[in-house]
This record gives sequence, structure tokens and C-alpha cells, in this order.
Amino acid sequence: MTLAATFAEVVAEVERVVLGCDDVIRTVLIAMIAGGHVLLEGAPGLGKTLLARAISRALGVGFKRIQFTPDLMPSDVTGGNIFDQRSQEFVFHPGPIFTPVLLADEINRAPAKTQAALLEAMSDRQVSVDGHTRQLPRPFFVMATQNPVESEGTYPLPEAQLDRFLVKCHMLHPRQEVEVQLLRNTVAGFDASDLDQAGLRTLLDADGIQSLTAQARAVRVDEEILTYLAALVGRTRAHPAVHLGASPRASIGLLRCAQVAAGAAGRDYVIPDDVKAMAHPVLRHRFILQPDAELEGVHTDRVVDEILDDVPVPGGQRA
Amino acid sequence: MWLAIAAAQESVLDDEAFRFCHEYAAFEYNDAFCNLIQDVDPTRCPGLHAYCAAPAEAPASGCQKTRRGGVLGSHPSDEVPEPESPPFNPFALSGSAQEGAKALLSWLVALIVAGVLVGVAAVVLRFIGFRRLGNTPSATRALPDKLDEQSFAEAVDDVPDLPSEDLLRAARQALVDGRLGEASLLARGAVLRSLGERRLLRLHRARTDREYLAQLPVEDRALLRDVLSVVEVYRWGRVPLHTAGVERALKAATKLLVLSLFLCMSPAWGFDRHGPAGDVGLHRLLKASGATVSYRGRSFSELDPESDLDILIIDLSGTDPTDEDWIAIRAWVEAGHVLWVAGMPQGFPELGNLVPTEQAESQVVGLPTPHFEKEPNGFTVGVPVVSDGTAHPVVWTWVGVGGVLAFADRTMLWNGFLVDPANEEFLAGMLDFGRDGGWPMADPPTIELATIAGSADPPPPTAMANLRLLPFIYQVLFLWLVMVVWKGWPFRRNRTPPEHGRQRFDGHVRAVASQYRRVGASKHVAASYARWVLQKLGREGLALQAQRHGLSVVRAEQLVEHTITLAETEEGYTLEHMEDLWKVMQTER
Repeated sequence: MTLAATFAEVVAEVERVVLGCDDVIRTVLIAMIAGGHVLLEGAPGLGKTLLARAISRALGVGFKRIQFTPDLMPSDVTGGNIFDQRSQEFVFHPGPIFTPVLLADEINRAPAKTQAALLEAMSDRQVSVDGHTRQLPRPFFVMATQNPVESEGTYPLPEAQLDRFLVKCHMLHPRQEVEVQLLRNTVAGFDASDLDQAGLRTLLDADGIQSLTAQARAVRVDEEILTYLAALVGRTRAHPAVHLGASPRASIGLLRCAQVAAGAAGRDYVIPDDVKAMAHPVLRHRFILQPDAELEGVHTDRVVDEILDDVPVPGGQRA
Repeated sequence: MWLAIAAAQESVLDDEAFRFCHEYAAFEYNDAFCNLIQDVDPTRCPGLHAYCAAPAEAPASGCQKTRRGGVLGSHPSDEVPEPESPPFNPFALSGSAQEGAKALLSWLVALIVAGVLVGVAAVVLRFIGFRRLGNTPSATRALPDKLDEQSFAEAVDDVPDLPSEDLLRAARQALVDGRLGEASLLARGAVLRSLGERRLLRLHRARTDREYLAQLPVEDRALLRDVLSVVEVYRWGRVPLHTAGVERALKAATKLLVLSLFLCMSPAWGFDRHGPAGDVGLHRLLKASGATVSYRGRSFSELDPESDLDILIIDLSGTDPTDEDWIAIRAWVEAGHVLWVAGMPQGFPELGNLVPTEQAESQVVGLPTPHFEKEPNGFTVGVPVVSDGTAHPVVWTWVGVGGVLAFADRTMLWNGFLVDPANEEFLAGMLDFGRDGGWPMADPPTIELATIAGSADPPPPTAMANLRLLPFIYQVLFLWLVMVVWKGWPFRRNRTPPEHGRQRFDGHVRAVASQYRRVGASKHVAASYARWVLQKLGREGLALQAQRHGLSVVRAEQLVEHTITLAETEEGYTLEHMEDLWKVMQTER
């Protein structure tokens, strides 16, 4: 079970039901194999839940969804101790977070206190309730979504929370031909809530995912690639449009993603193109722009573009 | 003064760099615009007027391949009953003078072509390794013998600043020495340097090898891929290389270097940007209309929906986006940008299909009516910008928040299309149309051109032609003739012939003398020669010259006496004396 073959198979399987966003599927899978969490930004109705369910099914792991709302409490996420009158003691009732794949829908609609309930789970893969720490299942992935349009009544994610997402993906509206195909599938009887009917196969299990992760971590990274990677992330701290640059966690995340991308491409070594390909999803949410740059409409993707154009690649031919 | 200049420079084609417009010559694609020029003021584009009135012979195409697709007209000579005026002659020479100049030029061109061919052959022979590898090039000496871990990065980053062929020879030497990794790196350096110097690639410090590969046309990537894939495996995978793989990479590098010399790998390379099918006219027109215009150097897949680019102009006769490119282009358009595309773009079903149409008068609302060489095909769907009722040669369609302006006739973006002032006004008007709210666009708009000549320089012959060296060559030839008349051929006095020439002449004289002697004529010839010597030097002069030659005083006196006797009586001839006399006279010269 090689990483490249399995990766391609999973992507093809998920693409059967989630049409027209192969880039997002690949990025999400790369993040999952790298052991990170995913922040999906897109309008409602673009198939974010379907994507999460299809991936979790193809990977053979469980899936739960939490709809974040302003009145959602931390215990609604993590679970809590409830007094059992029969046994006359408090019994822990695990929350929906105890699942391998968690879809945190519209995460920015919950207040900061509830969002913070995810912090420990995302970074340490454990939950502490009433002084007791409980391990989350392995693997544990969070796929959070947020709507970029409706900002009223939302709580922007704090930097500490954002930094814990390995990648951030944009989901765009499908092209017309993709949408036509989607309609054809619907006419043919496809039901997004019933993946059994769609014939979506399970290709992996939790151990298989761990094996892919191990394979990815064995992908060779040259010393020059490490230097290049550090230079890329370091440049975010010196860019004039950036108020606060990316953290070392970003460097580690970029490294892990580049390793998985290289393995998925059938290589056992990382090339600069892998780093460049993953730079946008890994870095775009990890730095804060200067207020004047934001007012001018500068987007973080543009800053990443400028950085990629500026930092010399290892062995880059001098013009 | 500025107003005066502006008034004088009314059209972008006024610049004499557009030689097809100002000179009588058979430029490629001239014919495509002959019908357009018929209704245009004769003072505009006199060269094209003259050509269309009396077409010249088409030049050899050389590297300038034809464009893919495009709408070309038939030859117009049948439609023009008789030539009106003599063709435009930039030098105003009489007929005989023209013939002479042509003959002279043809010789000159023949010499230049021969020189170029010899030079190219020499370079090719050097590339394919006819020189012995034992002739160690400087690059080999400059490189470390072995590539250890410490010197690895330095050796890669500091590819010796040497010509590509030297780097390639060094790569061959490294291959012979068994330094396979270094050989592959040097081959990579040679190829990239060569392609970069010829501007077939845009080298940049932040570009990876795969990005360089993507810059080449799809059909030309195989050779470069052969070179770069070996380097990639060695460089990043640290995988030991096999000799066969490196040899294959070196062969590919050799082929690539030879091909790049001729600039013939793709029609896009070496296309004349100022020719009838070039795109400089469009560039200048848009710039004059207030837009910020540049050529697109990066691939379409890198189009950023968040970018500040307002309009992307693609001429499909020169660029060939892949399916992935079209997906990226569509996403970019949907995000609120505008695409101008000449030809039938993929991935935009909103435009329908291109359908043929009969000749008809096109109608356009609110803008000057563009004139076509012949009525082009049209789209079946989309808001017609130009229409003849059945088909729409130019249409506009909304795609997402952005839109596409599609031209069925690809020549509408070429320089030749601008020969008609109405067409120039039409294209500028399209920009004004967008500026007035027709589509989302900043003011001034930022525009990128993805056209055939966007990243190409003219090929060497065209570049030389653009230099307008002919008057200078005439001056040089005239000066040369003056020198020939004044100083004689070859501008210098006669000098002593070389040693082997003298020996041959000496042998010739001896042979002739022997022959004369056998037939009894030598006496007369020898006497004549003796008389000539005495007439030239005199008695004292001959004696003095003989002594200078090394003869003793006595022997010199004997030679003089003998010569006088021979001259006066034609008697006493001996071969020894004649030889002495010959040698003395040789010294005198």
C-alpha cells in the first residue's frame, strides 16, 4: 500500500461524489495524512459537509458534525460529567468531539469560549473536563468551515486558533459544466445523504492512515529545502504588508505537507515545487496584515505570491 | 510642441518599426490585409499599399513558421486590374543602378550566408563532440574534481559563468571521468543558460526546474524534461545515477542546444513582433488608451482570482492553453475579471460555437464598425458586439461576475488589422466601453497580453533587417571601390612573394630555359634578359648588386662581363651564369 497509489485512489473515489474541486480534495487529504486540521472557507451549499463525509468514509473512519451557533457551550463540544442517579455518581458523557473526523460547521458563529474548547483537542488531541484528561481517538481531524460573506453575528477566530489549522482552503462555486453534471447525477438518483447508494467504497482504516503518515514522514528532505522553507516563512515576518508573520508551527506544517505532497506524487524526496504548491494553503491564514494593507485590499494570497516570487529557490538559476 | 507631436503620431502604425506598413516588401501575412487597405488613405501604410498593388515575391520563411489557425485572405493580385504606380523604392535608384546594387548585394549576402553557415557548422561540430575530449576546456579545470557534501550547494548554485557549449563539454568530461552527478548538473546549467540567453526561457531566481519546463510549449518539453529529471533525482533524492541515464540527459542537452541555436523550436519563437501578425500595435494602442499593459510571462494556471489584473488578452493563434489552464482562466474570469480572446476558447459554452457565415455587412452599435479582410465566422451565443444578423464575429458574455469578449477573427488583434483607422478606433473603443461601465474594470486598467510574440524577440535575420543597415552597407561598398581605384587591388603595394612561390617560379624559369636551350631559342632569350638587366641596373649597378648578393669582386666582375657579352653578341650563354644573374636580380627586388 504505497502512499502515491492509495492517495490517487482515495482522491478518485471522493471525486466521484464531490465534483469539480479536486484541488481542495487533494489539499484536505494532504493535511489529514500530515496529521493536521483543515479550515474550509466557502459559501453555504458548496458541499463542505459532503466532502467531509465522503473523505471520512473513503478513509474508513467515523464522522460527526457540530453546527456551531452563538449559544453553543464548550460542554456541547467536549461532553461533560452528568450525575447518574442510579449509580449516585458523576458519569462522563463524551461529546461529539470524540470522533476521528469532526466537521465544525460555521465555527466562527460560536463565541470565543466555545471555540477555545477545541484548542486543546486540536493541538494535543486530548480533552480535559473537570480535571480529568481524556485522549481523543487516533487519528483525529477537525474540518472547520466558515462563511466569508456573512460577517454579522460572527466571532472571528483568534490567531491562536487559526494557527492550529494546518491548511486553509477556499471552496469556490462550481463551473457550469460541473454543475450540469451534478444535476445529471441528481436526476439519476444521487442522494448526498446516502453515500451507500452512491457506492462510495471504503479504502482505508485508521491503521492505514497511520501507515500513510509514517510513509510521508520518511520522505527525504534535503538540507537546502529546509533552508528554503525557513526562508519562505521567515520572509512573512519581514514583508512590509505584514504586521505579524507566520510562526515556526507554520514551518513545521509546510514541511509536513510538502512531504505528503511529494509522497503523493510518487517521489521519496521533496522538491521545491512541493513547498511552493503547499505554501498558499499553509501560510495564507497564519499572518496578520498591516491595517493599511487591509484597507488597500491586499490579500494574504497576494503576499504569499510575492514571497514565492522573491525568495530564491535552491539552485535557482541566476538570471 | 507636445501637441504637434501627438498630432503627427496619430496611429500606432506611424512608427517606422512597422516595416510592413512603410516599406515595399513581401512580409509574411501581408496578403491577409490587402482588402483592408484598399479603402484606406494611401498616405497611411504606403508600403502595404504598394505591396498590395504589385505584390513582391514572398521571402524564404526561415524560422518564421506560419501561425496556427488564423483567418487569411486569398492573394489580392487577381482583384487589382493593373498596378497604379511603381513600387515604393526607398533608395530611388535608376534601373541600371538598381540592377548593379542588387548584384552587389546578392554577392554580399552570399558571402554573409556562407560565413554564417561555416560558423554554425563549426559550432555544431563542436557541440556534437567531434573535437577530442582530451582538449580539456577551461570549465573542467575550474570545477572541483569531486562533488562532496560541502561543495555540493556551491557547485550547484555557482554554475560557472561560461558559454553553454563549454559547460556541455565539461559535462561530457565529467561523464567520462565518472562524475555522473556533476555531469548532470553541468548539463542542466548549459541548457538553462542557453535557453535563457536566447530568451526562450525567463530565468528567475525563484523559479524551479519544473516551472521552467512549464514555460516551454508542450511539444518541446521532452528534451528539457530528460535533462531536468535526472538532475532532480540526483539533487533532491541523492539517488546514485546510472551512466545510461546521464548519457541520455547529455544527448538531450546537446540536441536542445543545437535546436535553440536555430530558434526554430516553435512558431512562437522568433516571430516578428512588428510584422503584420505581430502584437506590438495592440500593446501600444492599449497603452495609448491609458492602460497599464504588459506581456504575460507566467502560466495561466497561476492566475490569481484576487489579483489586480483587469483584462487578460489571449490570441489563440499563438498560445495554446491546456485544459488545466482553461479551468484556471475560467475561475479567474468568474471572480470578476475580463478575458479578451481571439479564437474559439474552450470552457466557455456561453459563446456557443463558431459557425460559418456568408459575406455580409457587419453592424455594430455605439462603436466604429470594424472592417474585416473577409467576413469571419461568428459565435452563435453571446451578446453581439459586432453582428451581421446571422452570426456574431465579436460577442460579449457574462461569466460569473466577470466576462469574456470573444473575437472570432484572430487577425483582429494583429498589427495588420490596425491598418484601417476604423479598426484602431474600434479596439480603443472597446476599452472605453469597459471604462464606461460595460464590464468590471479599474481605471486605468491593468492588462496582460498572452499573444504569440509576447515573449519573443525577432529572429536574427529580422532583427538585422530592422537595423536598416543597407545605406551603411552602400557607403562601405563605395568606400571600398574608391580604395580599389586609388590603391589598387588589394589596397597595398606588391610585396615579395612567399618562399614557396619563389621556388616555384625559379623551377619554372629553369624548365623554360632548358626547353629553350633544347630548341635553340635560349640564346636569344638569355640575351634579352641580359639586356633588360643592364638597362635596369647599368654596369656599376649590376656589379654592386652582385657583391651585395655575396659574390666576390672578381666573380661579380666576371658576371658583368659575361652579361655584357651576352647582351651584345648573344654568345657565351651558360646556365651557371644565368642562374647567378637570376639570383642577383632576386636580391635586388
